[in-house]
This record gives sequence, C-alpha cells and structure tokens, in this order.
Amino acid sequence: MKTVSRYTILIVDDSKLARMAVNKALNTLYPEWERLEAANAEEAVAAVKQAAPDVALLDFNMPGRDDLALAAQLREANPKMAVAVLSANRQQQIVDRTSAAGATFLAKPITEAALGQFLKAVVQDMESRP
Amino acid sequence: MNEFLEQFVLESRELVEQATADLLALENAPHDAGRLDSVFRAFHTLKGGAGIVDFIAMEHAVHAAEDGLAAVRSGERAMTGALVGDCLACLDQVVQWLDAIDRTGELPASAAAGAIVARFASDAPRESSRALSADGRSVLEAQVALLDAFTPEGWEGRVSSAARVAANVLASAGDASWAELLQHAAETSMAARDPRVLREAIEEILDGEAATLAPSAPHAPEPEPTARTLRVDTTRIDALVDLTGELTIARNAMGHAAKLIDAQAPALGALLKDPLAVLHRLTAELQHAVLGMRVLPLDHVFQRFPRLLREISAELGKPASLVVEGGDTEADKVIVENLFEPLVHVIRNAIAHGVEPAAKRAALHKPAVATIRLAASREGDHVVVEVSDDGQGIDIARIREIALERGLLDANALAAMSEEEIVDIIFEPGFSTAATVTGLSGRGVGMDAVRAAVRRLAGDVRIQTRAGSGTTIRFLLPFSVMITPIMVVGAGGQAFGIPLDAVVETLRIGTGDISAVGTAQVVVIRDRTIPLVSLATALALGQADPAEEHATVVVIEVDGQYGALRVDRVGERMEVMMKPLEGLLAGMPALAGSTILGDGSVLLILDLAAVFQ
Repeated sequence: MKTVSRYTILIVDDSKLARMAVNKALNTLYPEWERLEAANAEEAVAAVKQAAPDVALLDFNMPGRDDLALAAQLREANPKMAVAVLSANRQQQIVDRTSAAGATFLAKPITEAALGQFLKAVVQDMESRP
Repeated sequence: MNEFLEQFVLESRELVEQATADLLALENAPHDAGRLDSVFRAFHTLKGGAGIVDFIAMEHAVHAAEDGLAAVRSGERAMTGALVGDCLACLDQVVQWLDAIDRTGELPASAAAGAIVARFASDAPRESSRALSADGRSVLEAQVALLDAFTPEGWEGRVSSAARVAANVLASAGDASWAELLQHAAETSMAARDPRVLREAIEEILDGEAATLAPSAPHAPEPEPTARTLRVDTTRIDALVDLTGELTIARNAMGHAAKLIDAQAPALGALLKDPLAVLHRLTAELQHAVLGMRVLPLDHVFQRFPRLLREISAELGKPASLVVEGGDTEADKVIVENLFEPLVHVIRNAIAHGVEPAAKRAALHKPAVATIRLAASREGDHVVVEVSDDGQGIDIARIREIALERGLLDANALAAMSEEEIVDIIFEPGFSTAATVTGLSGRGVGMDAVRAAVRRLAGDVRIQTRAGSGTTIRFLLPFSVMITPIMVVGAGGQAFGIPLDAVVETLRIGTGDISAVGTAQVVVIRDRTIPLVSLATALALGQADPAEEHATVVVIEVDGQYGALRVDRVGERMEVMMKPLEGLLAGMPALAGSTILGDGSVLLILDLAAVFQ
C-alpha cells in the first residue's frame, strides 16, 4: 500500500540525457517519488506490467514505434496511469493527436515549471479519487 | 565537466555517427525511408540534447537541418546531394563544438549557428528580404549591451523589453522567421532567470545575418537551384483574398471621404490626391499578387474526365477517346473547381448529339472511335477551355424547327437570324434538346444551365460548329474572380451597378426619339434601331415622367445584342468586388450580385441579359 504522497513515475526516453533532465527536475519537485526508466518501448511495456506506475512520461520520438500507439498500449495495460507525451515539435497536429490518445502534451526540453504543473494536476486527480 | 555535459557529449557523438552513416547511405539511395527516419530522429535527438544543456547555437544549427529533413519526409523537397552536404556540414560543426567541450569542460562561449542556419535557408525566399539596416544592427547591438549590464534588479523588464525591441527591428527588416527563435530565447531567459540566453540569441542573429550577407568563399559549393515551394492551407489564402477585398472596400471608402473633403476644402482634397493614388495602385498590385497565389492547374478538374468519358461513351454506345491539352494551364481555384459540372454537361452533349451513330460514321469514312478534345489555354487575362468533337456538327435546320415547335421564336424572327444566332438558340432556357432527344444527357439540364454556370464565373460560352466535321464549345473565363469594373446608374431613386464591359456609350436623347412598338419601346441611335428599357419600369420602381423632354440612356451590348437602358442619372465608374447574392436577394432574376460601396451602402449589380429579356 502506497502512502498518499508517494507515487511511481516511469520515464521513457531513448536518450539518457533526457532521462537525466527529467530526474533532475523530479529531485526538486517530488524527491520522494519512486522512479523507473525505460530506454525503449519493450522496456516501457514490461515496466508498466510489472510495477504499475502512476505516471508515465513518453518521448515522442522513439525509434521503431508510433509513440501515441505506445501511449495507448501503456494506458491499456494500466488504465489509471496518467500519461504525458514529450515532444520538441509543438505542432498542433501532434498536440491534438496527443490529447485524442488521452495523454497530455508537454513541450521539450521539459522545464521544471511545466513538469511541476502537470504532476500537480496528476496528484490532485489521484487524491480526489475515491 | 558536470555529468549532464558529459552525457551530452557522449550521446551526441553516438548520434553524429549514426546520422553520418544514414546520410551517406541516403546519398546513394535517396528514397530509403528507413534511413531517412533514422537520420531525422538522430538530428531530432541531437537538438533535444542541446536544448537540455542550453546550448542554443547547436540547437538552432541542428534544428535547421532537422527542418530540411522534415521537408524531405513530408515530400516537400527532394533528398539532394546538396542537402546531404549541408547536413554533413552541420554535423562537422557539431563535432567541433563537442571537441571544444571535451577540451574546456564548458559550452563554447562564442558558438554561433548563423552560418549553418544560413546553409539551409540559402534557397529560401527570405534571403532576399533579410537585410538589416545599419540602424537595425545598432539597435540590436544596444539590446545586447543592455542585457550585458546584468544587475539583480529589474532584469525581467530588461529581458522583455530587449526581446520586444529586437523582434520589432527584425520584423521591420522584413524577417519574421527569427521571431519564434527570439520568443523562445526570451522565455528560456525568464525561466532560467538569466538574461544571457536572450543576449546570445540576439548576437547569433547579428552573426547569422553577417554570414548571409558576407560574400561566399570562392570554393564554397553553390547550393543546387531547387524550386522552393511552400504548402499553405487554402483557407489561409482565402482569408488573404477576403482581407484584400475588404482593403479594396476600405480604399473605396477613403476615396469617397476624400471626395467629400475635396468638395468642402479643395486645399485639403489636393493633399489627399497623391497618397490615394498610391494606395489605389498598391491595393491593385496586392490584389494581383494575392490572386496569383490562389491558382490551380486545370488538370485538377481535367483529370476526372478520362474515366467519366469512358462511362458516358459506354452508356451511350458510342466509342470515344479523350485528348487533353493544356492541363497545366492555371486559373483561379474558384474557377477550376466550378468547371466540372458545365464540362460534364458539354462532354455528354458532344457524345450524345455530336458524335454520329457507328453506322453513320462508317458510311462517312470517319474513324470508328470519335475524338473528344478537352483543351485549356491562357489568353491574356482570360483562360479558354474548349470541348471539341469530330462529330456531325449542329443541325441548324433542326434548331429552327425546335425553336418554332416550342414557341421560342416566330418564323419571321428566325428568318432574320444569321446561322450563328440560330446556333446560339441552344443556350435559351426551354430549348433543351438534351432531355427530350436522348433522355441521357444529364437530368434534363440544357445548355442554358451551362451558360448560367459559366456566367456565374464571369465568363461566357461560344459555339463554333461545322456541318459534318464537328462542334467546339468554347468557355472564355477570367483568370481570377474578384474585381469587376462597374458603372453606377440611378433609377427610381436608387443606385445600381452595371458591368462596365457591357457599356458602349452613355448619351442624352430627346424623348421624342423613343417610339413604341407594341408594349415595348425602341430608339434609333446612330442609325440603329435598338430596344429601350426603362430601368425604373423594369424593376417596378416607378414610371418615367411623360413630360420629360430628355432622357439619359446607357447603350449596352450583351451577347452581341445592343440595348438602351433608360436611367435617371449616370454616376461614377469604379472597380468593385462582386459578391454573389445571398439570402432574400438570391432569387432576384435581374440581379447579378452586390458590392459594398465607399459610404457603406450596398450596391446591387444588374444582370443586363435578364433586364432585357
């Protein structure tokens, strides 16, 4: 049983540098959260099935897989999980497709403020659940 | 070196290696989609890494290359040797930067992406507009100095003010493409509480500009001359056309105001004259440029016909083949998109009525397969679209018979008509041999519908026919639909517009020259007896005063027929944008459209053919 304030977050990005950047922001925002990392789609699917994280952050530009398809697949495996898709291409089409897939769009490179805002909303949502 | 920078260099070197391998493979196999995806992703990830470590120059350089590759992915440009070269040059620059980071443990302080960005921008149209004036440069340099003077107080204000000033300078230099870059830098500066990010961005623009303007080194490879095209959503072009139309209306409003001023204060009026003339010329040029953007090749509609012709020809049991010419001729999108229906009808007619039955063709030693020619060409400001067949031609005697049978004209009138005029009867409403003769040519729609459709596009239809050898239907269409020159006339206390190209002359005649023929009136002008219509009477706005000794008439020519339109007064000539009638007015037979005048009132434009019917 998790404590109210401690959640698990999955960071999916093939760039370790990008994962480091998210970790750095999390160190300030929610240092107590448990973190999982995946460098590709297979690792991400395995992590979701095994650890049932509360939040997943996905890089949009992963090799070998449509990222929004991956987002949908991860949500299917764990419907309660909040998903954000990170992309440096702030095109309306990608933003629209992201929200259509039930995920939140976050611009890359991710700022602490933007990540904080997203995670705050996620926490509020989870804590308001019965 | 901190762990981020260490990881950045490590990853970037891997990505450069991957991207280089992909680019070299693409040089030999430009259509390898897998390689293209891979190289695009490598550049994208390089850009992302640069963003994470705040290496703005590299972010911009790689971004430019990524944009180039994105255009290849979306099919907007080809994978050329030149593009591969530019991408490799970008990677070379990245490697130099990475080496510098390895040496110093820091981001290179003087890195600038301008030269790389310029490589990718060099064939873009913005190059020509990209010239900062000396003043512009000094203003930008002042912003750099301002941002340099870093003090803890008030830096936020300085960042936003410097970003605003720099954006203005660049916008006035005609270059909005840096605006996004600046905004991004300003936001990053704000978020990082560090004005240096913006300072570097402005410096880079100054450097980049210098790089573009500097004469290219003699050994520098010339960029391949590629046709640079931009895909733009048509709704955006339409918005531009609408705005231009509104600008024209506003210009007319100013002309109206200037006239009022001129009447009251001629000295002030004279001041307005020249600037108004300039405005007039500029709006005309703008209109021309904007409409030049909204063009489509006629192939857009022509390409649907080969298949359609096969169907019609099978349906009617008459073998025919289609020859298409001039499909690359361009015309306004509105015209091209509205040509399909009338063309279908004309082509149906050509096969149904023009092409002889197989037995007759054989007897005449004509080829068993008839030829239908669909051709487009540009003639000055007009676009001509022709449908020709090699059939029997139009049977003039048969048209006479039908016109008599249906009571369209009496025998005397027919006897007085030339062959050409008789052929033109097929455009009359109620003639329609189509529905009755074969029951196959459309849904009982006659050539009158074809003519109406073409006239709605401000065009006209003509027929050339030769007995035994075929018929050509010729659509003469404007290149663009927007501007109609009109003349304003007053009748029954109201103003109306009449298309200026129909006006032959305006004159004053004695009312004694008007004579009655039955219920109609005629007038002799220059030895020609022409029908006269009082506009006020025709529109049920009142009768002309019988005591009047003189009358103002406008002599018009529609379809080669002369007519005299009696009006109360003749007003100014102007160019207006005619809009189709909407709502309540849509059904009015004598009206062709409307426009909004300088004083804000709506002017109705007459359909002269309908007025004289």
